[in-house]
Amino acid sequence: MTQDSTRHYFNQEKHVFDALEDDRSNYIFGSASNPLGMQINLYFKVEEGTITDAKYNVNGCSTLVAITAFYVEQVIGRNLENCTDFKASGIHEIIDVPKNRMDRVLLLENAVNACIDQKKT
Amino acid sequence: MRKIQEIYLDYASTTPLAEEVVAEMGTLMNKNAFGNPSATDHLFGKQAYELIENARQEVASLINALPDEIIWTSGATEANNLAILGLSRFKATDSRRQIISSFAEHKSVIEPCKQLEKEGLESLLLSPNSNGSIDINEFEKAISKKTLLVSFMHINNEVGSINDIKSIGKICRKSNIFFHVDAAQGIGKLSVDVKDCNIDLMSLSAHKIYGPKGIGALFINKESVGRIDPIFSGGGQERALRPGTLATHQIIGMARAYRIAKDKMTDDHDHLTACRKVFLDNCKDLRQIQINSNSDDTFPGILSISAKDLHAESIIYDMRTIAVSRGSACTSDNEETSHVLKAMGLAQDFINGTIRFSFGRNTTLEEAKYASELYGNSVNRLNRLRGIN
Repeated sequence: MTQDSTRHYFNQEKHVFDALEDDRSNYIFGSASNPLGMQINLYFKVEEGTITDAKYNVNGCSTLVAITAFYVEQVIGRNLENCTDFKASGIHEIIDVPKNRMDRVLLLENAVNACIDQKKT
Repeated sequence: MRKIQEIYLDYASTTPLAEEVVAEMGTLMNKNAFGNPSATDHLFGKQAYELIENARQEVASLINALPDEIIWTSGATEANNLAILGLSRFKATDSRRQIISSFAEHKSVIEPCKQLEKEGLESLLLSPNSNGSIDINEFEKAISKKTLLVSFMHINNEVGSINDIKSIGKICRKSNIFFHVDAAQGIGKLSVDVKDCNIDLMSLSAHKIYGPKGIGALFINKESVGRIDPIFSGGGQERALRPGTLATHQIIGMARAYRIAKDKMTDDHDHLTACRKVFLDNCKDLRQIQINSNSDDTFPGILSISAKDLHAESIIYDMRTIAVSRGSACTSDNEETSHVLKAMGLAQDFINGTIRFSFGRNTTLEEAKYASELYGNSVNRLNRLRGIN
């Protein structure tokens, strides 16, 4: 089941941020990368404290792509302050995250936190 | 709709058994040839012994060696270890203690070199050129009076570059240096005459050329080398150089595979060239990709291709209907960067996105075309995901 979910979310492109079509000024932005050259860019549109739209760019392994697409789909409609509630354990129930790739979830959390930090500043 | 991993394009990793090999091994296992080939006091052992000696003749003939210059091993990894450790331990002197090899070699060559360093010998690893092969001038500058052994592969397993073993052999013979060739990828694919190329030791494999896994051989030039030290202790099989009961059915399978390779070598090469051309023609418009080793000195069956800034694992995941490798199969379970691509001077942002397609006798031109389409689609899709249009 989780492997099917990984496959499903790996193939989701509807929330990919497109620099030619999407106006970046409408979004807050957070980014995180690791020494393996993997990177997540998150874009949240926040209206009255609620995330009304979320987009991403991602470069990395299949697991990172899947968890990013999954997270972005889940976070829409949440309050920005609560958007870090969905922790590693929650993602792990849906997406097949191998033990040696748990750091990818932390990378996602870092990108989310970077978004929140930008909103605060 | 194709099934997951329906198309096999990982022939450099291993090959399926040729039908004739399966048939011959099957027939043999049903016959009374199970005897220990060393037990020649009875008919069962004698039968096995004869089969093995015929196979030895078959394997030797492919490389213009004498039958008793072929020592059976469990594969090329063992043959590489036996060649490097065995020769160095037996022949090193106070004045000749250096082994020269390269960073592009398989780990089964590099690791024995490191082992010999612990035993007081010296090893010098040369960097390959950007094509992945050894520059002859650089090599000639590197050798000295203290050089005992030189070890280079024929075809590189990751990028398909071909070393000029004839020129290297000539230099080695002139300088009185032993020359070992790791021919795991080259045997049966390119013609090699060990006498003409002045090769002293050569490692052979069966499973890269449609033979069984678990069997290989080491050619030891009778005239120039003669003896080396064994690395195993045990009975006196294989002139006491490689003790252990011989696996008759594996050896018969290897010999059959070599006979087929000898007959089909030219046709196979032409076919692989056509597969490579179809693949490359079909993705020539793809941006930010690089072919690692793409010259007249590249074996057409191995195509190493790098996509800038992408990750090979996700490309492979996306192309799920074809079976390919990241770099070499031996390193694909971990995140370790390919030591070969690194030594060739490839930038890290290309190394991460490197995939090895390897074509074989059973690959069709349609499959090669389909694979290149799939590859192009995956690279474009993953670039979109990272925000590059």
